[in-house]
Amino acid sequence: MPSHPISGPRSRLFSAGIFAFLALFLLMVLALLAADVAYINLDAVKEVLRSREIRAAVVLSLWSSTLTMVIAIIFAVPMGYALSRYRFPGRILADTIVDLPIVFPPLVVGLSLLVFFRTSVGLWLESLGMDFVYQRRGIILAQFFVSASFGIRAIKTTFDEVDRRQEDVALTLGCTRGQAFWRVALRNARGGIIAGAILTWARAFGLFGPLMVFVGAVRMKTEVLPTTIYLETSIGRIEVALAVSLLMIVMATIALILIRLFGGERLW
Amino acid sequence: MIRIDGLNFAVGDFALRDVTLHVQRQEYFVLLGKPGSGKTLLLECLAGLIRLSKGTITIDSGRVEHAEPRDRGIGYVPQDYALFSRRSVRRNIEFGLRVQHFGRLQRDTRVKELAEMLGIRHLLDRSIQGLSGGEQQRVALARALAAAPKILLLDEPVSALDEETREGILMELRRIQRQTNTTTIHVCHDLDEMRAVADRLGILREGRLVQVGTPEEVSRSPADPGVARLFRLGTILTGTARPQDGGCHLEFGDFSLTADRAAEGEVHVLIRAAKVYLHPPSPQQGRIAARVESILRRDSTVRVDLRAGGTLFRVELPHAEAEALALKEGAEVTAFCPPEAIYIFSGTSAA
Repeated sequence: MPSHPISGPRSRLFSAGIFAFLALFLLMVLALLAADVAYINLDAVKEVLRSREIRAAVVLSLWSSTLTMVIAIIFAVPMGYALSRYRFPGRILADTIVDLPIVFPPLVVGLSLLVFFRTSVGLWLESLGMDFVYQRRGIILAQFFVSASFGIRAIKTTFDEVDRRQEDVALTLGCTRGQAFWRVALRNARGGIIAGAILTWARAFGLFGPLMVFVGAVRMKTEVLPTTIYLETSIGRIEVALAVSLLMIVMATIALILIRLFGGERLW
Repeated sequence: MIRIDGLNFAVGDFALRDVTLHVQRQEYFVLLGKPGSGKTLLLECLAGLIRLSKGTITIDSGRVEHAEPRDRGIGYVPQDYALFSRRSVRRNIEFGLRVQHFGRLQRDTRVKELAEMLGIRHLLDRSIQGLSGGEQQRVALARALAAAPKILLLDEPVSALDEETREGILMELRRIQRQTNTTTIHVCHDLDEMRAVADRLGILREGRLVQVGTPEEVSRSPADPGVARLFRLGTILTGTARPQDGGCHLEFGDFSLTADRAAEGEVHVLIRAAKVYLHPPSPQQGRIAARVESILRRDSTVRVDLRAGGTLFRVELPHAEAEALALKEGAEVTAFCPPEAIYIFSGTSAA
């Protein structure tokens, strides 16, 4: 309950109403998880833990989504700052293009990447050794295009809300614009950067459609956990697919908590 | 010390137009104007936070209009203080010293010195959150003064404070300015605040600097009716002047007055509220028969609004005088406007 000095019957009723929604949502999610747990058996879990292919998919999922998150945040911080702080011709168009990957189906990103690497520019890049199609590095590229927008949006919104005057004062106190950004703006936007990192990582970790199109589902090479779930389901091994799903949920929960702690948030 | 020449800057529909101003070394200069008159914009131009469209700014004989804020030797306290919320009080104050690579010993000494001067030593290790408005103001001031700037820019520094704290801070600002000999430009819209600190002031209206002078000079000779209204000097009336014995006879329709300054034709006239005398009703030449419309008792004076026919005008009386007259709303009185109560503006159009 919120620590409020006055908590009369109306105040308690209000708090109860708020918490009812939270409880209902959590209950629905937990009910789904409980159904999954009830459906799978211990043998499926053991198989998942023993499988060399699934272990490789776990590792690939973790490092690819983490690397994607890092690259996306490296892009999102300056982009979010530019969109928030500067007024330039085409800003609205640029802002809209940033949001496009959020609104169109992720599969389109996979198809577009595939088509791009068949154009002369794409083939030229491949000739320079930058081949992505059906390659592990293609996972990062596809995850980046789908998930970076979430990070940019979250960070831009935070910069919008951060007091710009603090940077102005820093400039008068001896900072260059870069120092004011580094020492003041970035520090103030920490919450938004954590939120952006969480959204980016989560989106990348759960990505499936574009990966199937762009890098395929080659075991021990381009198979990530969502692909594993698809492959296991397609051959009728529902228990194993659900066991992998639960593994993903556990991993995601731990990763999201770690990102929050890394960003300086407290557990309680 | 600071010379601004022909400064122009436009943002949206608003523009600073042809601002020319000279502020002396070690002067406490106040920029006074209503909200939206361009005071903050002018301060930001001086700080280098916005680029001028036209004009020059010279500080200590060096042109700075293209210089970065950090190269102008200024300390800046914005209206909301803009304290670094994720840093302690100490870290806020020493921020500029750290950026400018001052050694630890120098930083500690300077922070202690400023904290002593502003009475915030006990707050040094506190977080910014939870500080009162007055404490935040002092921290912002210490931060701005830390690197010993040549010029201190204060944007409405006490507007968010309660009256008692405001008075205390204004006295401190003046003391610190004298102690550090820092040329100070203080932006405000409050007359009492200006009077508490200003050596000289400049009045901004709709992006133009309309008058510069000491508070006494501006009170004595307001540039136009707008300045007189801002200074709450009295009532502005429009009348017709006719030369008479080296002065003039002023006709306002409901009454007429005699002034000792020559004028002719349509003129705008200030009737100084503090210089008008009130008496019990007595029809005499040169006196105005009026009815009391409203009475407002203030700290130092009683403000009385009078109606003479269709004309409303204001009088400020000492409490004792108001009590002696036993003034009440609706009462009939006689007002006497001696020549020193009448100020005729140059030109013919009201601002």
